[in-house]
Amino acid sequence: MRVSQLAAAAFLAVGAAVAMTVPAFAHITFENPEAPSNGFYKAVLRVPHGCDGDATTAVRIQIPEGFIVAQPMPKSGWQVSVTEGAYAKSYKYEGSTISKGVKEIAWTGGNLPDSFYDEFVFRVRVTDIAPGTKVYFPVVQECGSKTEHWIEIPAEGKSDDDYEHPAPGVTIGAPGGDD
Amino acid sequence: MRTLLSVLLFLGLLLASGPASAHTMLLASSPAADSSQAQSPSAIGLTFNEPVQLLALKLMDSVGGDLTPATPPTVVGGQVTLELPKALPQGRYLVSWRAGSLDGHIVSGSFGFAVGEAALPASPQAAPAADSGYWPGFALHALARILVLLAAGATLFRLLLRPADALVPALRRQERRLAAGAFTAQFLLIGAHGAMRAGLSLAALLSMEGWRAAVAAPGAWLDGASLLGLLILALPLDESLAGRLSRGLGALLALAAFASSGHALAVLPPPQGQAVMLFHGLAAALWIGAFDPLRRAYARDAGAATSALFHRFQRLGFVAVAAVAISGATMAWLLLPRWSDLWESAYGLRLSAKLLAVLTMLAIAALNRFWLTPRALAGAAAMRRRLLRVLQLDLAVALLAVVLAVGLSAGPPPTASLVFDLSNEQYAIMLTLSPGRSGDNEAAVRIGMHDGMPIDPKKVEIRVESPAAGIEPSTQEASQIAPGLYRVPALPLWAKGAWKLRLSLMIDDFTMVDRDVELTLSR
Repeated sequence: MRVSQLAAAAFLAVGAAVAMTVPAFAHITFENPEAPSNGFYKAVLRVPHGCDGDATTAVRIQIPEGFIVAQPMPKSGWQVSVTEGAYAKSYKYEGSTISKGVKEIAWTGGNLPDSFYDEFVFRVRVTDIAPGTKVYFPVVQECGSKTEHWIEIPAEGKSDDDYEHPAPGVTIGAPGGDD
Repeated sequence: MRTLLSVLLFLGLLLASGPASAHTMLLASSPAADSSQAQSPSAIGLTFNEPVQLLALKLMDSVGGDLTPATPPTVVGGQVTLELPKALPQGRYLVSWRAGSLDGHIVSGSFGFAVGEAALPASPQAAPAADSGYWPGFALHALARILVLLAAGATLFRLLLRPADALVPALRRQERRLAAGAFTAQFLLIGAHGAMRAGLSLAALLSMEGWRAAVAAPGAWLDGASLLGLLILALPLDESLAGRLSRGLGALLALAAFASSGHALAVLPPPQGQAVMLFHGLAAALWIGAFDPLRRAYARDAGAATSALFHRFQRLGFVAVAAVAISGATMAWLLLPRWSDLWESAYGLRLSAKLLAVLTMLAIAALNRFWLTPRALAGAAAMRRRLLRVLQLDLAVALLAVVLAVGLSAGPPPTASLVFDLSNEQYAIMLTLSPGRSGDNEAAVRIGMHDGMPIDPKKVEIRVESPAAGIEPSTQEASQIAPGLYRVPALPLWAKGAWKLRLSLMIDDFTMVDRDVELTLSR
């Protein structure tokens, strides 16, 4: 190989290595990666593309254990619905005990073209989860008849990059954010 | 200068990219994934939905050999083209690619295609058709092999060991008779194999269809070379140097038929597999072809000339026996996953029968060498008759060994399976890969609760990749064949070495169980 080709290959390799450390722009992720323990978290779910070129028509997210009183933000052009269910345990909140609430939020009936970007917002209270824990919210993205399941939870020692459809996750931070 | 510009452009695009970029996708490829082409493609093409930087592109054959051409592929926007200067022979191939999109995202994958045969492997080797065509075909096969070994072996014996001149005319007549018989048998055998490949009965020997299929078979050129060799052996060539060399060449060519079929070809790439089979056939010919000439030499005259001939043979015979043993042991080691298969599997039992016959031949050879021959040559008349009969017996056992060897083709060698326990706290998961060596592997997945109840995920997929061999990930969906039991007919584990597998079970819309396993294929 000539020296210039070798150099190009080397730069390409370095570029690729750098590229791999940059967050995967094509995945569904939360805008704010940190949620305060025992506080409120505004979850902004970012949807950068559709399914294999098709427009997104529905987004459903499952609220994991330890997150209570989830409230979706309405969205023009989309129908919002919630599904309630029992929590695994009871939580004390504002003087009362809560043992059931919103377990799934769905935005349906919309049309987000593949080349456009949109955000789906909800607010949720983080209960007493140890700071440093990473928690995942499985998301189902529907594009007409196609579906993408962003539900893979990285195993011990692995990161999001090791998976093709990782679930969006947040890391629990220091307590705060009571408003 | 151009290099510097492209580097700056790349880095600039990298830094300028933001979360709104579209996702790079492979839209199409040529040849299309899992397609079967009648002719070898002149180029491999990948079409992406946006401009890409190509990071890696490999073309591999089904035994993990790297066939990537030396000239690099051309990338114009989202179109990647890799010219194939050499036509690909019939077979199955894998294209593994890795590309970087302008927003920094890396995409990769691999796909297979086939030239001249089905893209997906045929259903597992069925037992030979139990119709009337089997035994006649088997008899023809055994007869052809025996005659070729005797004809080639007798010729090589005479050329290498120079028996007494008075014996030569009789030996030559015998060689030509054997060669003529071998030619006829081999010719009919080629036609019979063609008829079998075309799915017709032996009556197809009389029609063009069977012969056309015969000519198209992968080993046809070897069978043709064998016919040419046998033809040379049947000709009345003289004893000049040219004549002797031609006959030697003819004998070697005649043995080419041993490399055209055989289970060793399934586990070794063609050149190596053919070489081992040829080596085995040549060594067997040298050993077996000597019995009749030795018997004739001794029957005619038990004097000093014959004694010298026997001594010359003993050296050659020792080498031939060792060569048969080594090549045979190599093939057995490659084909049998465990030594216990020799008595536990049908194929192993057939091989054991052949080995028993060969051991008997060795015992007779030892008896001859150390007891019978020295005494017979020393003049004892009773020993003389005994030696003649023992040599005939040796030949008979040798022919039996060849028939048993042909019988090995009645069924496939046993398969070893690799079994992995991928259970977690919630589910009991077992993954089985057969045959557990490089090549297509059938994957079976058994899923259930720990109490034994089977569960049925919505989707079961297996993703395989081999970073060590440069094979990018490819994913296949498993189909359900019973409650809790899923199957992928062929995972393309087409290289030796380290592989990473990921079994993904979609239990419900929101729950995916991913189980990773790393394995090494040592052969």
